[in-house]
Amino acid sequence: MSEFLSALWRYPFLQYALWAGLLASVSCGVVGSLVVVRRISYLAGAIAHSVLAGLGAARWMQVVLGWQWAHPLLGAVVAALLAAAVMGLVSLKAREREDTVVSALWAVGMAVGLMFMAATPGYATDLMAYLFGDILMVTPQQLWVMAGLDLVVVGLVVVFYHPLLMVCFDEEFARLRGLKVELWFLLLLGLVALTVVILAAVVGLVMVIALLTLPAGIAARWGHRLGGIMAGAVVLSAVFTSLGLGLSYGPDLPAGACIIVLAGAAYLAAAALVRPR
Amino acid sequence: MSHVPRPQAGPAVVEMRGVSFAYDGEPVLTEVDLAVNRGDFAAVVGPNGGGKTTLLKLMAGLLEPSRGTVRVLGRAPHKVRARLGWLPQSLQVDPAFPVSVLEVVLMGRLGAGRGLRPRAEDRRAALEALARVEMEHLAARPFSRLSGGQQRRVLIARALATGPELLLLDEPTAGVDPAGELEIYAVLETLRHHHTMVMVSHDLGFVSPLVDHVICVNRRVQTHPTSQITPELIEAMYGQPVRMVRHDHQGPPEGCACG
Repeated sequence: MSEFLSALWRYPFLQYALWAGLLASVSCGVVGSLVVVRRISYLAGAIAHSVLAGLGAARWMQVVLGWQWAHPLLGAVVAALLAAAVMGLVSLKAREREDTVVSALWAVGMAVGLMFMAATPGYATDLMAYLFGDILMVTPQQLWVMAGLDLVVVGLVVVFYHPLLMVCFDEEFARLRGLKVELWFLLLLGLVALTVVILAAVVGLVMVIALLTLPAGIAARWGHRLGGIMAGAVVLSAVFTSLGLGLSYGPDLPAGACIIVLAGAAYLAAAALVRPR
Repeated sequence: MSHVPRPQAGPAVVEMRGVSFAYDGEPVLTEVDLAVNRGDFAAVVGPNGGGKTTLLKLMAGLLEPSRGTVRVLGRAPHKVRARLGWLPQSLQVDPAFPVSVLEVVLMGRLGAGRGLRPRAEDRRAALEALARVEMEHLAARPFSRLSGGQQRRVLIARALATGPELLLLDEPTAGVDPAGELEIYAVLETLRHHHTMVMVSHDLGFVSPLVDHVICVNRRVQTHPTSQITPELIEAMYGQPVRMVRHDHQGPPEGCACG
């Protein structure tokens, strides 16, 4: 750990990595709390995995079609929002077969991504970084994108806190109050989609779901109000990403995996210490 | 019905004519005719799966009838949503949800046309609504820390906070211990003097002293004035639910809203 701290002063890539973890924690804690109280972590997982289709397609367009503007990050945002819209509509329409359809979309999204990657000449190492996360490869440009997405996500949640709370607490009542419940649900999934893209750079698409739910899950054991749980989850998430990064540096372990193991251990410890309400 | 002298009776607050409803082709309600007048307190009773909640949701406009017309306050239910107070079934709300009591009641003050952020006057109205269910001293408490009965009372306060012209209550005492049940009935007893109320209940014995009418639902619907509720009728409804739909009396008795 001390080795990490001294290296942190010397190497900009470590500073970028630390910033990436902190920036990701903001959206992660805020949106993760909504995911936990609304119990849609399964939908969030499906959105995260199907983002691979967008990454693969964007890279294929860049290399094969020569469309330079088709950056994988742009592909990820488009794919995540598209996946959120499709999953949201499926969840709203196909009530009894929801889990079947969502699992199918989950796997088909990944399959499409793999096919695009296979059809693209050259190694797709940076796409693997999106899949399993490589926080040490984060660039300053990516940090700006993450900060921008953070601003959008947190801004929307702050402005629409009350209607989001209403829809999560009691959809039926919200409908009677004249809220367009379906649109608010789609907005919530859109926020999840943007958060997934932010987190993908830190822990990778495959492990996004853990970082989205574990800090909020721990905070929910103590918090009695949604706003408090969000704040607690942001802090916990910042601790896990920073500490995970630091612990992984010395023994040269994957940072994303360390972050997730840390979060998982903390969740288990919290579960053992505090009885659920 | 000109022989019925009901002093506070005005035009019907709820009116259903020839209403049928089916879930996926399975009939739940058939040919329902009923009326609830201003100031009435009506209990909806009947066996589980008989269509009680469906009837209430049709009144709220949460469901559309397959056939027939529903009029609430003289208009289609979804047009008067803002004037309805709604208490959902207890399973609709997660009892562990992280929200304060006041935040829950404030939900009754927000919505389309009312703004999406509570103002000072909304807080005042929410606290007043809490006072009417004798819960204002717990306004800052986490909702999850309340007993089942207290949670139901907070949700009744949320319905009151909307300033409703009609209160629709789905099993106010579901999942509540006997002491909490008595408190809720005491609250309902005071509310009935100020509101038109329709309440789904499983406990006919308890509610019949409170209400003016009993709406018996088992796919078909019959309305009785409370004076007609006899032990035989109760036994017929719950003991032999199929027989209960074949009411033999002809013509509407006094105060009965359906033929």
